[in-house]
Amino acid sequence: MGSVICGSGNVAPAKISYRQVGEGPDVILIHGLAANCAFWQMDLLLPLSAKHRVTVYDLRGHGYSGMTESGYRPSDMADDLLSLMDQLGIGKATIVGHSFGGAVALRFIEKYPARVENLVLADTRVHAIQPTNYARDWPNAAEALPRLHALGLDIPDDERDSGIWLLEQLAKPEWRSERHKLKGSPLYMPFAPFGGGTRSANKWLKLLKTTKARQEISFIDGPTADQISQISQPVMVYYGSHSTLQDSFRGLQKLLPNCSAVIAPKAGHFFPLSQPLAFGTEVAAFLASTESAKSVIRIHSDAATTYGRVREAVAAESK
Amino acid sequence: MTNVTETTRAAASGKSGEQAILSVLVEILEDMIADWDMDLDEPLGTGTRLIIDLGFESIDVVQFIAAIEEHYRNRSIPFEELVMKDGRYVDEIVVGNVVTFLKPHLAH
Repeated sequence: MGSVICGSGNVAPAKISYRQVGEGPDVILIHGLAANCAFWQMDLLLPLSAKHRVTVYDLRGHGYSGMTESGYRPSDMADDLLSLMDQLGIGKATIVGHSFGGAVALRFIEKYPARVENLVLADTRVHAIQPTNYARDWPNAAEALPRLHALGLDIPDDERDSGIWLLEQLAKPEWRSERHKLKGSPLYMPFAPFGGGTRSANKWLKLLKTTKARQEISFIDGPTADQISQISQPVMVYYGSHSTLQDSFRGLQKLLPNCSAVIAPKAGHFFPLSQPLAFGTEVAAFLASTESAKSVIRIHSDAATTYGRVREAVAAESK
Repeated sequence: MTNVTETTRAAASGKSGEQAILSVLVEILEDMIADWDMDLDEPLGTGTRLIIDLGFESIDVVQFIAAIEEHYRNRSIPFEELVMKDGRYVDEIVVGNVVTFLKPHLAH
């Protein structure tokens, strides 16, 4: 993988590792917390890279990217993305973010709207809509919580971000074998489809333990609901049918009535990992629809221009 | 006679081709695991299993593939044929299989 150095202002420089596949208009995929760019599996990338240049990268503190003491606010990571795009010569791209990667994408489109062609949010908790994610509020709490309890995982009542809490517990060595018991369930939280994910899990724990990431990832200073409603680019919101983030899914559709809303059937939060081909195909279809919509507009504007010329010609003749 | 000589030559170059590919892969892997504190029973070679022997995770497979693409300046090798079977990732990747897989793709 290639790498560039990102970081500006008060944010320490960090190596950001990336990989590109395919040729065409740019698409950038942002993974979520505790993951890395391998989250986007090959059969997810294939349908996307058929007509696009796809860039995947490791967020700061993840995968092969550098770990700094701070620089983990969505806003900081949006700046890392801007720097990555600048250094790779990407002027404008479709930004696809899963989970926390979507929070980075939202912050990015708010800060740098001119750099975004389309936006895809996959199972992202939108803080302006859903500020907390208590386990008791999960739509599937009645089924899921007893299953977790049976494994010895009791999410504290006052835990505002149950997803991150679970992601931390399941990364610990004592839970490594247990988390595989959840395989096939919407609760499954893998660290890697290949191998046991031990080093990835350790890196995530190290990030939480030795840096300011724990506080900073929850530092949300935007966008507001009002700012989200003003997004003018085509947006796709793509959520798992069993996701605990249904409020965000519904809220986004209210704020963005023209968005393309898709549900991944029989899927939880990690559906891009469990249904990679479907994910890649759906996003590719969304991009094809936005491109054909643009060509319709272009045809209309060409027709208008032609019509204008005809009118001008008629006016000239009648003179 | 000519045919036999050509065949022998082709076989010899094929063998050295495989040896050359193996050397490249071993070098890439040595580079990758340099700071992993690995205590390997055997030196890296055709029999090395990336997941069981080296503890590879998905991100390491991506890194390995990217390093191969970079070395050969070739981004069109269909690695999905190596790492996926019936829509799923394979359980193991053996270095010797990577050599065999790469050979026809690097001949062009």
